[in-house]
Amino acid sequence: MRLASLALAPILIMLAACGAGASTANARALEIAAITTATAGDAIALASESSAAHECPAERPDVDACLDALAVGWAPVDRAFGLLRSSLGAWYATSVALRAGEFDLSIALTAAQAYAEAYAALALVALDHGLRLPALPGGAQ
Amino acid sequence: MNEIEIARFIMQALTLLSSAAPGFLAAFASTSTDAEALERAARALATIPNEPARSGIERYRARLRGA
Repeated sequence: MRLASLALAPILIMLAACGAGASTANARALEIAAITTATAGDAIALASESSAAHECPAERPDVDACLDALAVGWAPVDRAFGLLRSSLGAWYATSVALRAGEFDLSIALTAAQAYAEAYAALALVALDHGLRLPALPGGAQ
Repeated sequence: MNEIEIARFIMQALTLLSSAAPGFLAAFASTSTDAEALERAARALATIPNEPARSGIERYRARLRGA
């Protein structure tokens, strides 16, 4: 899990090496993370829908109870996703403050690390449901 | 890390990014400012669902009821 905190570092290093300033590199990394999170959310929704169709076919007389039970089983994924979403929101807030000169980059990087750790936690929980989320840049999860 | 290793690292990072974040390469190639990147991040944030797993299950339930 600790390795996950380093996962976004390559993005920032790469963008900085390509000439972006620290604040711009952070903003672009945040943008990538936001798109990645939205994509992960779509993948989770598709996977749970597919799981529901497979495990609770329409012919089952107890299909509603089956779906309710399935939702309980998937709840940890939603909880982990909620934490990821919150960490992304916190990173966004620090990034806005960074741009306004209220924070230095280290605060935004700390928020980015928290996001990377939340993503790694989500990837682990999703794997329990057979869903393999893409690794964050850096490959550490 | 020599130049070849650096180039390889960048290519690996770009490959990972392009698979993890569709549209990243276009964003990377653009000359956007941090304000523009933050604005795009805010737009992407707004599209992130709250409970994607539950929404997928409820979407299936709605399909069943609609059928």
